[in-house]
This record gives sequence, C-alpha cells and structure tokens, in this order.
Amino acid sequence: MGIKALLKKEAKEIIRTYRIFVIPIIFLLFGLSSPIIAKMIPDLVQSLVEEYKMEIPPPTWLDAFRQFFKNMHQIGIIAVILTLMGSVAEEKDKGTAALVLAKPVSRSSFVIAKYTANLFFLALVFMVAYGGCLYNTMVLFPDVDVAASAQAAVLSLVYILFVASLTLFASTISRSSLAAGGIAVAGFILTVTLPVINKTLKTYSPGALTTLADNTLVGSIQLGDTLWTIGITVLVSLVLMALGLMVFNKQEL
Amino acid sequence: MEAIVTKDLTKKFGTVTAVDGLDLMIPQGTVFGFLGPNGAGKTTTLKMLLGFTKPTRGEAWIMGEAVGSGDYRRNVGYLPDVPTFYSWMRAQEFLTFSGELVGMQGSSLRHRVEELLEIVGLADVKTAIGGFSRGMKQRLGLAQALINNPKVILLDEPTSALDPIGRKEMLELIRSFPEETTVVLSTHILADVERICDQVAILDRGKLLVHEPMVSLKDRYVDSIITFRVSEEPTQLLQELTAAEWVQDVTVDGHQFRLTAKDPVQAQHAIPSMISALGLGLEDFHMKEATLEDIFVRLVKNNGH
Repeated sequence: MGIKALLKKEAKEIIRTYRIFVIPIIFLLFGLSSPIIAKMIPDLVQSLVEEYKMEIPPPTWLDAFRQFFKNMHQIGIIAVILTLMGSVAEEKDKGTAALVLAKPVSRSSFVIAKYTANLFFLALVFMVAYGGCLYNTMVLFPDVDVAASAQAAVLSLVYILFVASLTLFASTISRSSLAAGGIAVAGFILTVTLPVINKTLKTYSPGALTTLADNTLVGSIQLGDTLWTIGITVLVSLVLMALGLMVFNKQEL
Repeated sequence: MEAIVTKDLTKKFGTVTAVDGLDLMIPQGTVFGFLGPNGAGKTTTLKMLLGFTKPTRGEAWIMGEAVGSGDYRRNVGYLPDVPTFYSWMRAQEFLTFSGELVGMQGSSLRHRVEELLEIVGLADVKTAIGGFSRGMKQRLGLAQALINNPKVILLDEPTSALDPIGRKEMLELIRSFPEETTVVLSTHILADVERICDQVAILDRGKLLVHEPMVSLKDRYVDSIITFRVSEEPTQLLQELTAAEWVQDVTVDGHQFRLTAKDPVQAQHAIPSMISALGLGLEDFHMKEATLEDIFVRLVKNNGH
C-alpha cells in the first residue's frame, strides 16, 4: 500500500526542490556546449600559441560526443552522487522516514519509490541533454552518425543509472548523507578500477561501459555486442537494491 | 477488549537493557500515561510497538494484531517527540500525503484534511512547513496521526517542547479525541498526565514500577504531605520525627520541614505537640494530598535513584 502516494511525493520533491535545477542544468550545459567547445578547440589552442603555426586536425562530430560523454562520466557522475546521497539516509537521519513508515507502508515501497522516481528523472534529463548535443552537433558538423551516437548514449545512460543505483544503495544502508556519499564514491572508484586490473572485467563489468560507449561511437562494436555488459550492470544494480532493502528492513529507526 | 498488550517485551542494546520484561494491558478507550525519567525506556517501547526496532525478547499486540504482522499499523497513529516534515510541502499537502499512505482518497480524504486543519488551527496557513514554528509542527504532527481515525494513538512527549499556551492547546486536542480511541501519552511532565490520563504506568530503567488506574494509584499512595516551619533550631525535632513510626519520610531545609506521613491523622495531632514540647514556635502548617509527582518521585527513589 502507498507506493503510488510515495511515487507522487518523490516526483513532487524533485520538481519543488533544488533537484529540478541541479541535474538538468549540468546535463543540459554539457549537452549543448560540448559540440561548440569541440568546434572551437583548434582555434582556441592556436590563439594561445600565436607565434607557432600548429597542425591541429579539424574537429569532427566524434569529438563533440566524446566531449559530452567524458563530461557526463566525470562531473555528471559527481552531480548524481551529490544529489542522491541523501535520498534515504537524510530521511532516516531527520526523522521524516519514521513519520512515513509509522503508516501502513513497507520499507521496500519507500525505497523502490525513490529508485523509480530518481532513475526515471535522470533518464529523462539525460535523453534531453543527448538530444541537445545531437542537435548542436548536427548543426556544427557534417556526416554525423546518429545511430552510433545513439548506441553510445544508451551505454552512457546505463552507466549513469548504475552509479545512481549505487548511490541509492549507499543511501539506503547509511544513517547519514555523508556516509552514503563516502560509500558511493568508494563504490564508484571500485567500478572504474576493476576494468583496469582484470581482463574479463575490462569487458563485462559496469565500469567497462564508458570504454564500450566510445567503441560504439567510433563504430568498432555495435550495441548488440555489449548486451552481456548491460545485463551484468542491470543485475548488479538489482542485487545492490535487494541488498540495500535487506539491510534497511533490519535497521532500527 | 485490550487495545495494546505486551508480554515480556524486552530490548537490549549491547549490555544495556533499555526495556526489561514489560507486561502491559491497556484497555480500549483509555488515555494511558506512560511515565518515566529520561532514558527510562518509554521511546524504545513506542518504537517497538511501531516496528521501528525489533524486541530482543517478548511480543506485543495492537488491537489484537501482532506487532510486525500485516498492516497492523493502519490502526495506529504516531506523533514523535520532534516531528519533522518535508519542508517544501504545505500542511494540507502533507495531510493529503498521509491520508494517501493509509489508502484514503477522493472527497473523503479532502474533507478529512480540511476538518483536521480546522481542528489543529492550521486551516489558514498557506506557507510551506519549513517556515512553521515548533508548536505548529507539533499540531500538524498530531493531525497526521489522526488522519484515518486510528484506534490507537501513540504520542511521544507531545508537549515537552511547547510553551504553556501550546501545551494547554495540545492537551485540549488530546482530550477531544473520540471516547473509543486509546491514547498512549509518553511523557515526563506529570501535570499533563494528571490532567488527562485515566491510567498510568511508571517505567524506570526499563522496568515497570507501577501500572494502574490513576484513581487507585492515588488511593494506594494516599500518604499526605505535610509542610511546616518552626521558629528555631530544628535538630532535636528532626531526630524525633525520623524516629516516629507514623512518619514515612522527613526532610528539613533551614527551618522548613517536609514530611510524608503514613498516618496523616496522627501526624496532624502529634507534630504540634512535639513542637510545643521542645519549646519551639510553629509557623505555617499545611497538609496536601500526594500528587502524581510525589508518587513518581517516591517510586523512582525506591528503585535506587
């Protein structure tokens, strides 16, 4: 009982708090500016060293998308962790969770509503940002491979949603936002480190998605070749959610 | 029918026993005062009843349903000691949200929200909860606890942070609950309990010291409190009073005595005679019935404080 009410509340919370600005502004900024920056970089670099004539290859649509995904996988990820780390932990810490959970509402519904609303919001904002990036790239560069960029965007989105799930898991098991942030950052570092230290993990772990996104962008692989990695990432996210719920169900409020 | 039953309810945190073998039977329709000094285990007991913390041992039932089973919480309203809300919401929105959580919807929910806002005096407040005073938050907390007319309402220190006017309003609100509603009022403000409770339980260091109707509790601890003042050095008088069989307890502060009598009638006769025999002057002689505070202090003191 109550999942619909909880979802409604989560949606309202996103719309009526700072969260409606932070993620959309950051994502959209990267989406719209990345093609422009890619286009301007050769001129900018040349203007810095005016006395030497530099041989800089002309920018392509690939540079625009690479710039976009790189920003999303670094600053975008930090923004996701910062905005989501308090989702559950802060409610436990402040006591709002107690007021809600004194009603006939399960703790699982409480957490699942947060996952659903936040992941949906992130996906929506990401798609709009990707749309903005695609539009500006098509305006500024010829011969854009829309299909390749869309496939890379799917992988990038899965990666960002994975980090969001990781952060929500950390928030579910923690008692403070700060602890949740710490766990999420540690988990993120582990995610990006694992593909470097192991050959199998280089292809099949969630951390491999960023490299795979770049590979699909240049056309060396297709989205179909990454289904195992996507499946494993979704599975790891679900396992983390289930683990978080197990811990939360045993926690004292 | 019993609204709340606990059997051997125990909660340990490491080596500390917060609640120790609590056996309670609270009849339906009772306003139940749950008393105890800070750290007595009152909040832990309420948390166990709400399923927020699992008992180390023992069981509890609310309206016949085992705590932790199914949706037993549909019968329960809860107001924590410091209620916190989503600061971006308005009072009306929070009550609507609370109603939806218990399955209410449509016009019945709208009417109930309007009714409660009127009752708690927040009908005209349109600002976000973030700007509410402590008293307003407490009243909103009470309103959300009442949203679906629950049969049992658990109130944790509902008046402790309120000013005298806020306290009076809160107690009047509690007193206005329907007769069949069972209210558990956890508090250390004894005057509140005396004003509105039918039954009282005193908890100290996790142990139940007493649980009985307010009236019989006062009858059982009917010893009168006598206060009087003598004109001169009272050492000899104090020694004689301490030795007297009809004296339960006596303390002196300067020339001012405070005495609890086992036999108030005998005390009323004997004290002036003793003072006179010692050649002292008697000033201010007062007798009063033991208040809940006197009973509380005595019970807690006997428990080793």
